[in-house]
Amino acid sequence: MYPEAKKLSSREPVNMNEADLKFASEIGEIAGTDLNTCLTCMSCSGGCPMYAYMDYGPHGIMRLAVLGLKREALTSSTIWRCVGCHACAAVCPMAINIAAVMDYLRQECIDDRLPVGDRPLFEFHRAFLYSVRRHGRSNKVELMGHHKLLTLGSGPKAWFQDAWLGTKMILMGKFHLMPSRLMGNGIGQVRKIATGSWLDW
Amino acid sequence: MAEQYNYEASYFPGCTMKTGADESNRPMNIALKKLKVKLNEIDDWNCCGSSSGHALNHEIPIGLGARNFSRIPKDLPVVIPCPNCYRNWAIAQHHLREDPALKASYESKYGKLRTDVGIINIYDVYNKVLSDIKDRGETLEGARPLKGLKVAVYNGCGAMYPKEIRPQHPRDSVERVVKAIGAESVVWPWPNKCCTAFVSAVYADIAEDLITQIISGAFDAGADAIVTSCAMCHINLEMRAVSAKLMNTLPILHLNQLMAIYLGEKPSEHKDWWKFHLIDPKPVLEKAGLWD
Repeated sequence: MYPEAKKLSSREPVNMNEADLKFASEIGEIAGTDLNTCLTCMSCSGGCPMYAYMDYGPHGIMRLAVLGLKREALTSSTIWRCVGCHACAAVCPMAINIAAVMDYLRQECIDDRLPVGDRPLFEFHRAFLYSVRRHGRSNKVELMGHHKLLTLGSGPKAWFQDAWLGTKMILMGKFHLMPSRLMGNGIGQVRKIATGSWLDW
Repeated sequence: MAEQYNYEASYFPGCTMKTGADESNRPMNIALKKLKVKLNEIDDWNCCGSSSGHALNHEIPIGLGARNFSRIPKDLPVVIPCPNCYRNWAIAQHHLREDPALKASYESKYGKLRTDVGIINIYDVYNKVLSDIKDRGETLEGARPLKGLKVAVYNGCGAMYPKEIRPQHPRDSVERVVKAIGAESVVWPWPNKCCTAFVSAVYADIAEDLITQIISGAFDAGADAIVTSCAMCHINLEMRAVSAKLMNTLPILHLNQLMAIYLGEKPSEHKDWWKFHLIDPKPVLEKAGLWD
């Protein structure tokens, strides 16, 4: 289901004509961390549970950012495959908050309307936040149903994935069907917070 | 007569513990009652944003966190059982403390934000209470050490933080609880490997790959069961162990369940916990002599 990994070493020569040399410091300002201290030691990729399923891996993204190859970084699948577990940030010898960098890149990708590197994962985040906007809290059953609707185009395998197991767990009572909701004006307040350019995608 | 409590804290359950994970919720309430800890659920709390809030807009977890901070009723620490919620709260707290203007802008919307309260995880509560009892030289009535149970302690991503919010408690907190209640904790390769969180819901094959590694790592290290304090990890590990049709699978137990058993609960009387498990832990508990 996931594409073959294309690692940084197999790339064409880097074309620096399109490089945006301010990119790393831009990221650093928002993410509150200094990318230029990166040693390229690859500890982040070594600790990353998703590295085998990414195209560049966290260390590759750090390199692309420092070189200013903005488009390459923003359209990669790496930024979407990142689960945000902070393993990279915990092991980084220069204490770069790599997970926060990934957050910034995802947001920039949506703001600039660039092609999303991994559509189904992006749709999951959207389905989650829609659930939060509806109830102020998330509900797994509703969220998965909505995600399946949003990714209808990705084929029958995705559509029927976990249909049996998911139904079994709902019947067991492990997942509650009824969402837990906020009362009063709480939902309105949450709706004002949970916004962003992902809404009008 | 009202019950006497030695400890009191606010409580933020989070979405997973609120709508599901009853097999963790029920033993937790029993254990806390026996340890004389009182938790007051925060009124009208909202979702912390989970993995998706910060993925799409970095202001979402701060905003959601700020609203939660405004709901805290007293200057008591907040207990958060979910490691992901914990991290989102800590990140929101860090930003709100660092940036007074940001805090003021949220205070104008929601009223006073109690950002000075401590944020603690459920295993911090257990560690604190157990070490206090030990310091006083008392013994817990009805407690039975879980001798003979060999577990692999699985933190998932719950022990990893960026440097700004690195908490005071040590990384092996869950292991400390497990050792304090008498169970044996095996040395194994993947205590901190992510359970793939939301990716499990989208790409089952990636999750099956990783969770096969995690579970077989624990199996090869000689563990009888995997114990986790995170309800999300529990769902992912069980679901993917079943969907990958693992031959040598281990039951996944909650830390809360071990704690309740340690405090004298009889596992055989708690069908209401085990019915939510896809992998039946009965054989393992029987082997350790705890099924009575």
